[in-house]
Amino acid sequence: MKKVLSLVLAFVLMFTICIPVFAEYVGSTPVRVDGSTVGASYTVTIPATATITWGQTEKSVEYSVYSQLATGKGVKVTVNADADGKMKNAANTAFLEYSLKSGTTEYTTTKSVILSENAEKSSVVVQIPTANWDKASIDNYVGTLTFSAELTNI
Amino acid sequence: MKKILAIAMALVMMMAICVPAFAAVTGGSNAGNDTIINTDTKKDTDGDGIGDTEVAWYTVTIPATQTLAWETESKDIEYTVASQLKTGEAVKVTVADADSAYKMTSNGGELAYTLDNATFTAPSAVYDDTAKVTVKVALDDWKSAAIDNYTDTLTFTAEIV
Amino acid sequence: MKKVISLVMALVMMMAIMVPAFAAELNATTQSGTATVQTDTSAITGDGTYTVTYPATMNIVWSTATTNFEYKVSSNLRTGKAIQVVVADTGDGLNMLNASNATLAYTLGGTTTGKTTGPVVTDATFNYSINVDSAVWAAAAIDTYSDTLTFTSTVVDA
Repeated sequence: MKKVLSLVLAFVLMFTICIPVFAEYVGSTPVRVDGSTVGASYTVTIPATATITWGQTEKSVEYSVYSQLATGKGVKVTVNADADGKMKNAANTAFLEYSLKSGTTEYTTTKSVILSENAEKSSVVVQIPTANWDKASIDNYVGTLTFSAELTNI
Repeated sequence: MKKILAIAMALVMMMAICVPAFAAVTGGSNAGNDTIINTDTKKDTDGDGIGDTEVAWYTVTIPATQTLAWETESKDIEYTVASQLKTGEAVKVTVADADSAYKMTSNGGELAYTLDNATFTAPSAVYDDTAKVTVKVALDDWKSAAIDNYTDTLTFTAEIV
Repeated sequence: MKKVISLVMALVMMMAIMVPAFAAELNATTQSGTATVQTDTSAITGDGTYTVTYPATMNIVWSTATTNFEYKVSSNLRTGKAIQVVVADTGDGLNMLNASNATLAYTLGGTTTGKTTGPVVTDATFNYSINVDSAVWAAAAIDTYSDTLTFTSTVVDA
């Protein structure tokens, strides 16, 4: 009896020790995201209007950019003033000359991916020297800043 | 055949990569690309970025005294007009004798005179130059006047027209 | 050196006090102002100018008791002035003389001392006369007699 029990116990112990080993196959499969067909996007948000108080020699007009572009790409924004450099009154009878401050008419984003909540901001500065104000009849003058954007390498 | 297929596949793959970017400039006026800049007709005096004080101004500077040498038949009296007004406005200056008699007086004597160019209107809203009114005394009037110091007062009135 | 500096400072302060008369300034707040226009007589020397016109010769017809003449004054003088003209004999008595120094006595009548009414007159006329008594004519040898009258004009207070 004892021998039988001891054999049974030993057999049982053997099973406790003999942890079953599952069969496995070791190999590799590449994981890849193909973005070649994904459309890049960017948005430049500009103000509809900007008001300059009389006599103000500089006015900063702020705009922002967010984007999701291919790696190595950024957005370049260019701002242009009226071709003749003049703001005009409603009757087109009076003019106020202005210019855009050098160094503020172009901006290139620093990253390919810019979230909308962390949009990059820049400003273009409208300049009107005091001498120009002094020789203008008092009126409401209007001009147009045109923004254009394009992709560029960064 | 295989080569043709390979080239075709390569072309197909290239076109698959040239995906146009979705781009937008938003928020602007007109087609969305423009920011309209406009001026206020008031200047910002309290620094809050909002115009609060009308800027239209003008100044007419008139001389205190003008002297006519004896038997001077015509004397120009110069004064200055400076202005920055709204488009279409101008400064108008009118000169007249204060008592409308157009006579300089002394102790019991009178010397009649007239004014030429008694009204001046600046040619533009923005102006900075001199204007003149001319005092004229006829030679016969000089000859008929006792030699003395005659005076009268001219009134200058300015208005925006 | 300190004295020199203090003198210079005094001069500078004096010049700062000598503020020239300012012209009036009109603007949106003050739209009306006055200026004085006045005459300047500084270039006129003396009391002005005048002219006395009198006859170069006074002819008297024989036996005429009274012969009238006139002198005229035009003037442009300073206020308060007038012209006075005195007609008188040259001092040798009211006698006309001939070549032989025979006399023919006469008198002056009318306005021998005339004064204009004011500083400015044009051809103010004054009348005077030379009178010879009939008895004097009757006693005089028929001849040519003459004398000289003096017209003295001065600026006087009106």
